[in-house]
Amino acid sequence: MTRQEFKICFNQYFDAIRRYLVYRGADTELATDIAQDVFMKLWEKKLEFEEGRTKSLLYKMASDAFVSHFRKAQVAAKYEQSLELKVESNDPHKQLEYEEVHGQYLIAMSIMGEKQREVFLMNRIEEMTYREIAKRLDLSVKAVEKRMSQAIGLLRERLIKK
Amino acid sequence: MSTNQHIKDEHKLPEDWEKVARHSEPQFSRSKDDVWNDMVAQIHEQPKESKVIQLRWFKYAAAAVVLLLSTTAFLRFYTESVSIPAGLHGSVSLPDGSTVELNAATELSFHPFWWQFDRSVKMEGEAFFNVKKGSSFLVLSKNGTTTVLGTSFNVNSREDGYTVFCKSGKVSVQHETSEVVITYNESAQLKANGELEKRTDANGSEFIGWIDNQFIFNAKSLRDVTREIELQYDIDLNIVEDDVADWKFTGAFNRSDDVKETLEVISISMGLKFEQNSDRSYSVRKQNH
Repeated sequence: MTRQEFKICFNQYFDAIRRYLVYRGADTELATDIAQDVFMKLWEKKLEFEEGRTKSLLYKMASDAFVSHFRKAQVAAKYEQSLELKVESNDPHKQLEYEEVHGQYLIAMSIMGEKQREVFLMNRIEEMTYREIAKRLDLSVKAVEKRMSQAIGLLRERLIKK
Repeated sequence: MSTNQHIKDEHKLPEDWEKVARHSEPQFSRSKDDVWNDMVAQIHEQPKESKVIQLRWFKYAAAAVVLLLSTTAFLRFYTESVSIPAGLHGSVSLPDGSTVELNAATELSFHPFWWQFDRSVKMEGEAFFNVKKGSSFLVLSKNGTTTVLGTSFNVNSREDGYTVFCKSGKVSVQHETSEVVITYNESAQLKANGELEKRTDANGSEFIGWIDNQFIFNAKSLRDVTREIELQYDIDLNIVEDDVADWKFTGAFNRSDDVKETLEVISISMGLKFEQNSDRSYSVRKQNH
C-alpha cells in the first residue's frame, strides 16, 4: 500500500469505521482513538491495497480492537451515546415532535442489544444493505434480517408505549 | 421513504421515526482531518526514531571497528628500526630470541608485535642472522630476499651487490625470479646478469669474519676492499689511480687495529702508499709516484 493509497483508503473508510465503533457502543472519543489505531496498524502492516479485502479487514480490526478494549477494561460496553438530531423543521410543533421522538429513540438505542443496534444503525445511518452488513459483520443475510426484526420490534414497542 | 431501498418494507417505521433515525448521527470532537494530521505526524516520527537508534547502534559499532582496526594496524605496522652508522657494529635481539649482528652502515627494521604471525625483517647493509627454529623467517632487502626456517646465515646487501652465506641449516635466496637454496658453508651471490650464483668452496670466515672484527679478502678488488675499510673506520679512502681499483687483494685486516695500521699493512702488500689528507680522509697511490 502506497502512501497515496493509504490516504484514499483513510478518506473512504475512516468515518464509517469510527461510526461503526459508536454503534457497537464505544463513546465518540474512544471510537476516534480506536479508529485511529486501526488505521495506524493498517499502515504499519504494509499490506497490498485491495478495495474489498481492505474494507473487510478494517471492520474486522475495528471490531477486534473494540472487543479487546472492553475485555481489558473489564467493563461491558454500555451504550449511552447521544446521536445528534439533524432534522429541522420550520414548524415549531413539528420540531418539538421530532425532539420528543429523538429522546425516545435514544432510550431505545441504549436499551437495544449491541448486535441489534449495530445492524440497525448501519442500515439506517450508513444506508448499508442487509447483504453488505452481512458481509462486513461476517454474518448470514438471514441473521442480519433477524437482528433487524428484533431492533424494529423494540422500536415499535417504544412507539406504542408513547 | 420510497428511496430507501436498503430498508425492507416489513422493517419500516413510521415516517417521523424514520426521519429521526436516519438523521441522528454521532458527533465527534476530532475531525477526520485532525486524525489524519495526527497520524501523519506519527508516521513521520517513527522512521526518524528508528533512524536515531540505528545511528546510535551504528556509531558504537563503527567506533568498535575503528578501535579494532587501529589497534590491529598499530600492532601490525608498529616498526622497530635499528640503524648502525659507518664505523660501528651492533646487535639486535628479535622477539623470538633470534639474534642479528649488524655490520657497519646497516639498517634493520621489523614489526615486533606482529612477529608471531610474520617473522620478517628489512635489512640494507650486512647482517649475520642466528634464527631460532620456527615458521619461515624472511630477510627482505632491495637486492633480494632470503628465506629460512631456523639457521644462521649472513646477508650482505650493499649498493648493487647481494651475497648470502649460510653457516648452518638451509637457506633459500631469491632475487626476482632467480632462486637458489644453500646449506652449510655455501654462499649465493648476485651476478651482474641478475642471476644468483651458488658457490660451494666458500670460506666461512671470508663472509662472517666481520662478526669477530676479522675482514678477510680472497682475490677481492681494491675497490671492494677500500669500500669495506671506509665503512668500518668511517673514513673517506680515495684511490688516486683508477687502474689500482681493479687490483686484486688477498689478505685480511682486523677492525680493532688502528686505521693507519690497517692501511699500512694493505699498502705494503700491494706496493702502494697511503697518506692522510685530513682527519677522516685518506688516499692511496702507487709507490713510485
